[in-house]
Amino acid sequence: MAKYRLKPTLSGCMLATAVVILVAVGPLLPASLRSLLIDIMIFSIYAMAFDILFGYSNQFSYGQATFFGLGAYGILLPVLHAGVNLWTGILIALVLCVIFGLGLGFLSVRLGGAYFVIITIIFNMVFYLLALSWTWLTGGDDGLTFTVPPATIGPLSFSLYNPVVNYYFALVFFVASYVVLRRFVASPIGKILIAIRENEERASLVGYNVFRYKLLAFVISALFTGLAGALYAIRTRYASADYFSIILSGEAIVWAIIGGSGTLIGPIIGVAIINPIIYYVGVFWRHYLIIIGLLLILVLRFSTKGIVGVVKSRLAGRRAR
Amino acid sequence: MVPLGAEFTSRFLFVLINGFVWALIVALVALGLSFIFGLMDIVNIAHGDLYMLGAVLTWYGLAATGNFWLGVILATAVVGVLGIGLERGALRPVEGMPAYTVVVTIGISYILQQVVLAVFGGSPQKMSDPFPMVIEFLGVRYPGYRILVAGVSGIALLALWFLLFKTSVGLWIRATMQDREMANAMGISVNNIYAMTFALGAALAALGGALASPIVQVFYLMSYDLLVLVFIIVIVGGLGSLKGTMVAALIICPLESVMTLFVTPTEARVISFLVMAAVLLVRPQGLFKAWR
Amino acid sequence: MTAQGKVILETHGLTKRFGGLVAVDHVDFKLEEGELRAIIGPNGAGKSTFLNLISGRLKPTEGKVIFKGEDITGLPCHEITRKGIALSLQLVNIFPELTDFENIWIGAQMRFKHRNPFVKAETLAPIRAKVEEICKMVGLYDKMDEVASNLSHGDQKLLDIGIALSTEPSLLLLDEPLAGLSRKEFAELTEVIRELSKSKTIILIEHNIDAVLKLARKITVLDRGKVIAEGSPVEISENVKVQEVYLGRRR
Repeated sequence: MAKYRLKPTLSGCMLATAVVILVAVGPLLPASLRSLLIDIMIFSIYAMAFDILFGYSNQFSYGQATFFGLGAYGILLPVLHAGVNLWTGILIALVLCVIFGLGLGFLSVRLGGAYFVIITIIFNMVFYLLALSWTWLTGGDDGLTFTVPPATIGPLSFSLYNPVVNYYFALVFFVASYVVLRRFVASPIGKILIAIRENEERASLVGYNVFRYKLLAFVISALFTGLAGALYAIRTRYASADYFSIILSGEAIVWAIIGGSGTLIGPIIGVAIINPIIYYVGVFWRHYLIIIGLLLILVLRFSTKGIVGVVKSRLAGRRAR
Repeated sequence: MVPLGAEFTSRFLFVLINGFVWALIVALVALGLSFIFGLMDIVNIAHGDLYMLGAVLTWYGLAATGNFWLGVILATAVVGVLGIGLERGALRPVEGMPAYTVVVTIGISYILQQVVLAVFGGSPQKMSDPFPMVIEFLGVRYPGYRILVAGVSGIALLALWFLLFKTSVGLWIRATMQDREMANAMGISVNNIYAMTFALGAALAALGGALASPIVQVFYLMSYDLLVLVFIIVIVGGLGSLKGTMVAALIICPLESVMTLFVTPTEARVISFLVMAAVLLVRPQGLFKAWR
Repeated sequence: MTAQGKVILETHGLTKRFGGLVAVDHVDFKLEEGELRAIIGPNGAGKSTFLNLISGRLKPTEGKVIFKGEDITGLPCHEITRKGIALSLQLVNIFPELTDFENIWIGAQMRFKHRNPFVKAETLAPIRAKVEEICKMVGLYDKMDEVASNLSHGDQKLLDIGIALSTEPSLLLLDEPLAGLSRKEFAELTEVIRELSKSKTIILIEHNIDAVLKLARKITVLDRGKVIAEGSPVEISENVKVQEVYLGRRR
C-alpha cells in the first residue's frame, strides 16, 4: 500500500505539534535561540518557494535571490521614502515580485532546461551588479537602514523592535505560508505541476498548457521568495546589495535539496539543520563550513531525496523487516 | 574623452596583451569545467577553488623545493589525484543530475576554502616573480613572466589537444562524451573515464591557478572573481564545445581587460554579461555547437 | 453501434517534410465515427508521423486536419487533446514515480473546472469515480496503488492507454500498442482494444497482422508517406501493390 499516504498525516501531526510548541515558548526563549528560530522561519519560506519551482515543477533556477532582494527593497524603499505603513509595504513588495516574476518568468520559462538556469543566473547577476552600483537607490554594498513601522491590527499596535513581537510576526507568516503552499500542492493545480515534473511531454498530451502552469509556479515562487525577503528586511531593519547575491540563490538550492526536494517539508528541515550549525558551531569554530560541506556530500551520497529520503528509507527498511 | 597618443597606445597594448595572457590561463580553467560538465553533467561550483588550490600548492611547492616550475608540476599532479578522489567519493552518486551536483560541489568548495584558510591563512600572499625579466617592444615594457606563462599555457593547450585527438585515451573520453551506452558496450570502462576526466578537469584548473599565482595574489577566496568569468566563457562558447570555450576566452578576456581602461572592473564584468546575453539572444546554444 | 457514416476525422493533402525527407506525402484520409481503422505499412512509411500530425505533436508542412468539422491544423497538442483526440505512443510515456491511480487522475482531472486552488484534489469524488472506472476498463483496478515504474512492461502499456482514455477522447490514436508483449499480455490488450472500439473511434498502427485482421474492419496501407491501398482485410491481403511492398520489393 502507499506508505506515503500515511506520511502527510504523520508529518502534519508533527508540524502541528511543533507549531504549538513554538507558539507556547515564544516569550520564554533565550534571545539567541529566538533569533535563530526567526531566521529559520523566514528562510524556510524562501526554501519552500524554491521547492515549488524545482521540486514540484522541475525548473532549476540559480537566481531566486533576485526576488529576495526585490522583496527586501520592495518594503524598505516605500517605508523609507514615503512612510507607508507595514502592511502596505509588504503588499508593495509582493506586488513588485509578482510583476517581475511574470516578466522574467515569461522570458525564461519558455526556454527551459539549461537555458533556463543560465537566464536566471544572468538576471540575478544583473540585479546584483545594478544594486551594487546604484548606490543612490540601494546603498550598494553598505546598504540602507530603515525604521520599521509598527504592526497595527485595528486599534492595537505592536512594535517590531520587540524581539518577542518579531518572533510571533515571523511565526504567523511561516505557518500561513506553509499551510497555503501545502494546500496548493494538494490541489488539482498542484497535481498538474507534479505531472509536469514527472513527464512534461505527457502532461502536454493530456491536455495541459504546460507553459502556463510552469509560469504560474515561477510567479508563486517569486511571490513567496519576495515575502521572505521583506520579512528579512523587517527583521534586520536593513537591506543591501548582498540581498541579491547569487550566493543566497545557492543557499535556497542547498536547503531544499539537502532537506528533500519536492516534499515542501524537506526545505524546512534543510534550513532547520544547517542554520543551527552556523549559529552554534560557528561561534566557537571558525571553520564550521567544513561540517556543512561534509553534511552536503554525505547526505547526497545516501539519498538524492535528501534527509527526508534518508528518513523514508529507514522507515521502509524497518517495515520490511 | 579618450586621449590618444604614445602614452595611451602603450597602455592600451599593455592591457591588451594582459588580456590575451589572461585568456590563455582562463582557457585552461574553462576547458576543465567544460569537460566535467560535458561528460558528467556536473556543474562544478568548486572549480574556482581547485584553481585556488593549484596556486596555494604551488606556493608551498616553491617554498619546499625552491623551484617554481617544480611547484607547478606538483600542484597540478596533487590536484589531479584529488580529483579522482572527489569524483569517486562525492560526485558519483549525483552525476547526471546538475542541480544535485551544485549542492555537492558547494560542499566541496566550503571544505577546500576552509582547509586552505586554516593552513595557509586568510591574508593574500604575493608570490615572487620566477622570471623577473622585462621585455620591451613597441614602446611597451612588459613583464617577461607573463609572456612565459602565455607560452606555457599555449603548450599546455596544445598538449591537451594532442591528448584528446591523437591518443586512445582521448578517443575514449570523446566517445564516452558522445554516447555513453555505446562506449560501455565497446568495452570502455566508463567509470574510469569519469574519474580520469574529472581528474583532468581538476588538473587543468590547478594548472591555471599555478601559472596565475605570480600574477594575481594567492588568496583562499581567489575563486570568486574567476568562477563567474569561467562560467560566462563556457556558456558563450557553447556548453560542451572545446573550440567554443577557447574562442570565447580569446574574445572576452581581452575585451574585459581593455574595458578597464575606461570603466571599473565591476562595470567591465557587467559588459561581459551583456555580451553573453547578446550572444545567447542570437545563438542560444552558444557560439559553437557541442560535439555531444 | 455509434452513428454510422458520420465523418469524424479528415485530412486533406497532409504533408510533413523533414529537410529533404518527405515523411508524409499529401495524404487524404477519411475516418467515420465508431470505426476501428488499422494503419499498416513497412518501417519508415510515415505511420507514426501521421499520428503525430493529427495529435499536434508535429506541425504539418502542408495540408489540413479536420476533426468533427473543425480545422485543427497546427494547434498545440494540449488544445487538440481538449477537443477530444488522445494519443498513446509506442514507447511507454507514463508518470513514473506516481501510482497508477495518480497517473490516470491527471488526465481525468482535465475537464474539471478547478477554480479553487485550495481544494484538496483527492476529495473530488466524481474524478475519483472516473479514475476507478478507467482502471477497471484497462484491467489495472487491483494495481491502482502500485507505483507506475514498478509495473511490468505490459501493464505499463495498459496504463499508457488508460492515461489516454482519462481525457475522455472521442478519437483514440494507438501507436503499436501490442509491440513487445508476452502472449498473455497481447491477448489481454487485444480484448481491451476490442471493448474500447465499441464506444470510441480508434486508429491503430500495428505491425502484427493477426491483431490487425482480428480487430480492424478497414485497413489503410501507407508506404513512403503515401496511401497505397485502403479497404477491408480481405481486399488488402489480396492487393498486389501491398504484397509487393511487404514481400517483394527490396530497398
